[in-house]
Amino acid sequence: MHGELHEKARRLWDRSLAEGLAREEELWLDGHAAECAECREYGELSQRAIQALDSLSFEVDGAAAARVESVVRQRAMEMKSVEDRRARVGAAAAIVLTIAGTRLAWPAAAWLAGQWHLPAPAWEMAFGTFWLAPSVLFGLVMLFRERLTGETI
Amino acid sequence: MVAAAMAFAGVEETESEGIARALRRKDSEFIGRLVARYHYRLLRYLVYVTGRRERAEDLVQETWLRVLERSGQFDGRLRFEPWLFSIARHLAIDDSRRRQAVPESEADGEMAASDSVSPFVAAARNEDALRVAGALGELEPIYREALLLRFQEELSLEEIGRVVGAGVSTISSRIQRGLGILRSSMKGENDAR
Repeated sequence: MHGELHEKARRLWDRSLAEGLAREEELWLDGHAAECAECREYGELSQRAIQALDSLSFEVDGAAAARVESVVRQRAMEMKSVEDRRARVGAAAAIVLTIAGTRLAWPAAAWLAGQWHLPAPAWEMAFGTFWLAPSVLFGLVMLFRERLTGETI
Repeated sequence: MVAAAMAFAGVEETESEGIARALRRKDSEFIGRLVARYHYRLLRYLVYVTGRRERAEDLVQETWLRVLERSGQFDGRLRFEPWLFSIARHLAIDDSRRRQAVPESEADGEMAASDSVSPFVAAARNEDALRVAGALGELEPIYREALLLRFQEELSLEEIGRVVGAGVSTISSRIQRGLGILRSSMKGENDAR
């Protein structure tokens, strides 16, 4: 019976350090530890092991750390420059495709509007809204992506 | 503009969200500061995972380069540290597999040339730490990393689970087992007194 209590106390000690205990378990463990020197020592030993673990201190090579920082910064700048170039190419492609597409789509839209007897201002406005505006918007977003996603932190 | 809009709406940007935004934008100034800030912790984690100081040093840079490549995957909703450590861990595992594939004679040569003193022993500054360092050197990496992430990085069990890809109960038992071994090393000393 006594052995079972010690076993329970040690299990709780381990669990309290790994994940924490419920309030009642904590109270029980405190009560038991107050009376049982062996289990108290078990808990103290665990705490000492954690403190010793915490005291391990690895020396840092400052030059190596600075080198890593510089390489990573350089890589970030390169990646940013590639992404910016892609965005500019994307915006230019959107503009070129919009102009080329418009040259083809405009006569087709005019012909369709004639077939459906639509007044010129109405179909021209619809053409602008559904054909031109999305392309222009896409091009603008690509160009000003930087400002839209936030300033430097 | 996003930060200004969030401030206007009264929504505070968390630290993780700030990191996620800077990574997405490849803000080199911010990233440089981030590298400096996490250097020690990342190095220490990699020493615990690999058990080798030199390998850990090599993997630190690789980890940051991978962080840049995968920056789109970090959205800032969770803490940055578990994500950083999980990338480092995957790289360490890949590196270990690559090294296992190297013919034995070459690997032996490399072993002889590298760390002659355990990095844990080199990091110990007192008697208790020396005992623990000795035990750490013998411990399997999965237990070492669980101990480090719980007691030094103070990650929750869920966060550790995300780093190592295991369930909470597995992590808890790894911590308890690792702690048991450390305690035994201390107890040996106690008994000797």
